[in-house]
Amino acid sequence: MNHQTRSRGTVATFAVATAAVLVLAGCTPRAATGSDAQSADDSPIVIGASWPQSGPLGSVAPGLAGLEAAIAAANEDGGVDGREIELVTADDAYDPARLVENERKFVEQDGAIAVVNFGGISIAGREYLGQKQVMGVSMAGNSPLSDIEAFPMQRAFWPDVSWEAQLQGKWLTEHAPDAVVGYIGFNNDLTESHLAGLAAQGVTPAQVAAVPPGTADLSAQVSQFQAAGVDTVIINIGAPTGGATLAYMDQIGWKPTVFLSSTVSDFHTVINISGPGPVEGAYSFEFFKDPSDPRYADDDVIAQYLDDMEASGHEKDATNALALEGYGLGAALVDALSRTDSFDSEGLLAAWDSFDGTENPMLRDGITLEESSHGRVIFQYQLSRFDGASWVDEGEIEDVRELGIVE
Amino acid sequence: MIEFLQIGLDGLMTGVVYAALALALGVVFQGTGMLNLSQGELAVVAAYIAWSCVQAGIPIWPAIAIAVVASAALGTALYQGVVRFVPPHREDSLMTLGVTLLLGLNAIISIIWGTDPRGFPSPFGTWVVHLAGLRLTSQQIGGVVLVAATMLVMALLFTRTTFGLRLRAVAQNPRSAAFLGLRSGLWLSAGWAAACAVGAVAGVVAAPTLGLSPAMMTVPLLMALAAANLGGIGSRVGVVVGGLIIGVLTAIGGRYIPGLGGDLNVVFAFAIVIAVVLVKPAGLFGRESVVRA
Amino acid sequence: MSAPVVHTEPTGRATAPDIRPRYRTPGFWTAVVAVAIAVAVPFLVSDYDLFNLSRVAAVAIGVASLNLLTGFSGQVSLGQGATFGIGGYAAMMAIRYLEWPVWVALLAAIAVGALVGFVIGLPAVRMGGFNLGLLTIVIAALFPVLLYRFSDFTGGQAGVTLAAPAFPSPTDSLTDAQWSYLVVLTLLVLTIAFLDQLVARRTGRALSLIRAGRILAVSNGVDVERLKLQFFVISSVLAALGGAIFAFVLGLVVPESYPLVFSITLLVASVVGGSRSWIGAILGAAMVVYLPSLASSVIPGEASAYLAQLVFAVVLGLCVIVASSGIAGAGRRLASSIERVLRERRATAPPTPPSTTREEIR
Repeated sequence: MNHQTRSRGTVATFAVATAAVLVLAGCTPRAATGSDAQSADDSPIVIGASWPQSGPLGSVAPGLAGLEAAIAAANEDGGVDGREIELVTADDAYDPARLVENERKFVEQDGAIAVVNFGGISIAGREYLGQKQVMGVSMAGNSPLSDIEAFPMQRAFWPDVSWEAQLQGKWLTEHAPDAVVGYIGFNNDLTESHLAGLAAQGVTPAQVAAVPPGTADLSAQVSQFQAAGVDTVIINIGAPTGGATLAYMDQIGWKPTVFLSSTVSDFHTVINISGPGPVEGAYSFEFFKDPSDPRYADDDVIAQYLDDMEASGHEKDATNALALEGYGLGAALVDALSRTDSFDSEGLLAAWDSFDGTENPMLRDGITLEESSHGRVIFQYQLSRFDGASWVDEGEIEDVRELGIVE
Repeated sequence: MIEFLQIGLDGLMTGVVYAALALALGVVFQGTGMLNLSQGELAVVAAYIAWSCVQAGIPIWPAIAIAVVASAALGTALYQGVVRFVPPHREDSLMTLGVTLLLGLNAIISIIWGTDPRGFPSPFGTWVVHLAGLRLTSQQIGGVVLVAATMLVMALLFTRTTFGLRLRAVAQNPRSAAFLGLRSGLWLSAGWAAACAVGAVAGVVAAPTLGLSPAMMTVPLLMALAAANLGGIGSRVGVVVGGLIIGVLTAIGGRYIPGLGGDLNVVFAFAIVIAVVLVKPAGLFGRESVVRA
Repeated sequence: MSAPVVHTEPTGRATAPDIRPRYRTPGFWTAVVAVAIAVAVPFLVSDYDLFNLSRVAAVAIGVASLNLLTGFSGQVSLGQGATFGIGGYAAMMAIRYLEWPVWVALLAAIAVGALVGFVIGLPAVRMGGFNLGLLTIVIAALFPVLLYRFSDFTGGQAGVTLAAPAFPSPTDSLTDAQWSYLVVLTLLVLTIAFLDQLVARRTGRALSLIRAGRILAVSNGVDVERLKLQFFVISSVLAALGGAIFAFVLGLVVPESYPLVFSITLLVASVVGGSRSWIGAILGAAMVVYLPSLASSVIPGEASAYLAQLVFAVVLGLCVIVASSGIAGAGRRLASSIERVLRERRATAPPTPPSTTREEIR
């Protein structure tokens, strides 16, 4: 018994020690973190990108492909000021813990001067980036990301979702003051922000269907909308819900006025799922181009984008609007880097905050990146209507700063 | 009143998918004692196979047939290649295995077909029936017919054929079945094949409504679990009735119970299921003996 | 951190009580070595690695709480992630809105965990495996939805964040990350020591009877439901504690941290690590925290994220199939075989009956 016990103890202790050595082998020793490396003049400028490439939001991965294509194209052209931009990427699977882990790695081990995210959970990293004084840029339009007073290092690329909601509300009060509005969106703060925007223009939906991501069978909600006399439906929900719902409404012959929010109005998100017919006649306040839209078949900027996507091996994702938006985000970062005085977070942030009528490959013609306020850089929208094949402009470009929506 | 009936009807039609998936869960559970959490993902694979066949120019109905057969083959392969190595009394190990299958299948689907949601053509066309102020789409009617036919086939298979009898014998008492010379492994993999074929039907019925994406069956799987509890996982009639009830309760709860809405609408249905199983642990149609303690 | 002795036989066969003093058991010394190494770690590796190791330790507390339920009480829960999350929210909200000190907030999380455990436990202990699976999976599925629904209270998508580290270093010679890691490690060791004692005591033996069969337990005079409820509550308390620590390590709670998948991942960690072993809880936690990032960092290329997920799934699946008692169980068996080989080589004793029966759990 004693013998047995002792040898088992030895084996177990040995196993524990081995395991510990293995774990330590995978770690970085203390004091070997390389954030000083960036001072040399020819060393690369490091930007980290933590993006959902798998998990519940794996379908936004093309945005990262676009970002990579833009950075690769800039490096191909000689980089910025002779310095290469090094984009370090990591999958966060839309898990806040992994996002924070990735950001720590970018900042503490790679020496990144900025961290790029998709959005939503990028809120999780704000506090840390603030402590480390590293710039964070998110793509998405969640209103909480506008809180640059509490989080001065955080910026967002898309406009605030509530601004577009205000444009929709304003349009409704002007063109259909008696509209009975139904709203379909996610059961999260996007819907809250959207409803707040509508309310600011005096529009309160009679019916709200706020459903979890992934819900696609809204037949019961549609019946409820019809019974309540809804004649205008605002849809701000991602794939597959929007497309599936529009297809169902079309099939049962219900034709209310439809507003699609810009970020869910593209071919991949809605039209490829529902088919073009059910979307015909829908309105949307748009700010970015959709590479799948036939109207851009001869567009020079889009052609350049497609070339860059192919050159970086991402041609598979090229028709996805999210890829073009990631490409636009990359181009905006490159533009800011080309104007900065110093290649650090502070310099990049100052340059990002001082766009001035800057053109961007993803933006609709006539829309430009502007000086930052509320941590945002895009303020213009083009009302568009789907004619059965393509989104067609209606009227002039509207600027939320001129309309008093943003002061 | 019309609205109430219409919403109930919509719920009933939604419940058809839950019913089919719950039936697949039940067949696997009875055979191998496994709560197969990857059943939804298996249905997604079937839907993607059908979609790929349609893309390759095969008409929709043969494409669905191919998907059903391929799913059955996949089920057999999974049983023989993976599941049979875990002893049937290890509930937790089996459930964990189901989770790893779910993750693995999800990864494979995403690698092969991508994560971009796609439209899936309805095999039943796009007409609508109006009757007494109520409305049904071709997809809803067709879905019911297809699932009902599947259930009928399964019922006949299990009760009217020697194949089904042996299958049940092995599932209920593997040891005695072995004495009778039945090779339980073979029969259990046949059970998996049958379950996956039923799951495949659930997948192709759901796809036109839900749109094709790797996560398309996540919500239906949860509902199917509830359905199996409600009806009794050991009863083939029970799981189907359970699925339909869950569909109706969810739709009605979301509309008429204040504060539930589109995200908590499931609460009503789940609360009723839990109340039922507290009183009758084996479910509405289940016999106590088939419940695995 | 101990690889505990297997305490009881499910059959209730009379086993001689272990009269050796605790410090003479091999598990004790292994634990001492393991803790010694763990204490040395913060002086060797970077703050980034310490952050990840602290995450492992916090998740390990959650997994250990599940082990108590699954491995020792025979109740499979798919909803432990929700209780974990509730603990996190309770602690963070106590700090943020009530401005309670961190340690009091931990106690708040424990109290809320006990309450949740009691409320869920009341129906749960009456349910068999499959029904309990549904009850718990429903709780896990609804938890994030409720967090969004009551966003005025929970902060919605923005969640609740800490403005400063929860465990600030009291001395200049240690960074916050080093200190935080040591605090979390201490809490993990305390939790495991507590659990180890719990299952070693009489209640633990009674539990083994329950696991072996309800009728057997009742005939031995065990109040099954009461005991199960006790363990459900203790398990919830520890899950809430782990969740609070996890939230402190991360510095925030948001709904996306606690999807249904997270609850399921905890169960996977429990089974893969070994649901009857405390060191298994740590191994399982390490796997689910490290493996996804590790797999995605070693696999380059376009579809890398899903290849990484596939590798993760295959590794976990292999663990389930190859090591049915988890990695810890397999390790213990391996140790026994090595030991047997050593013994045979020495040939000091006549052939002994196989000594593995005691290690083979179930």
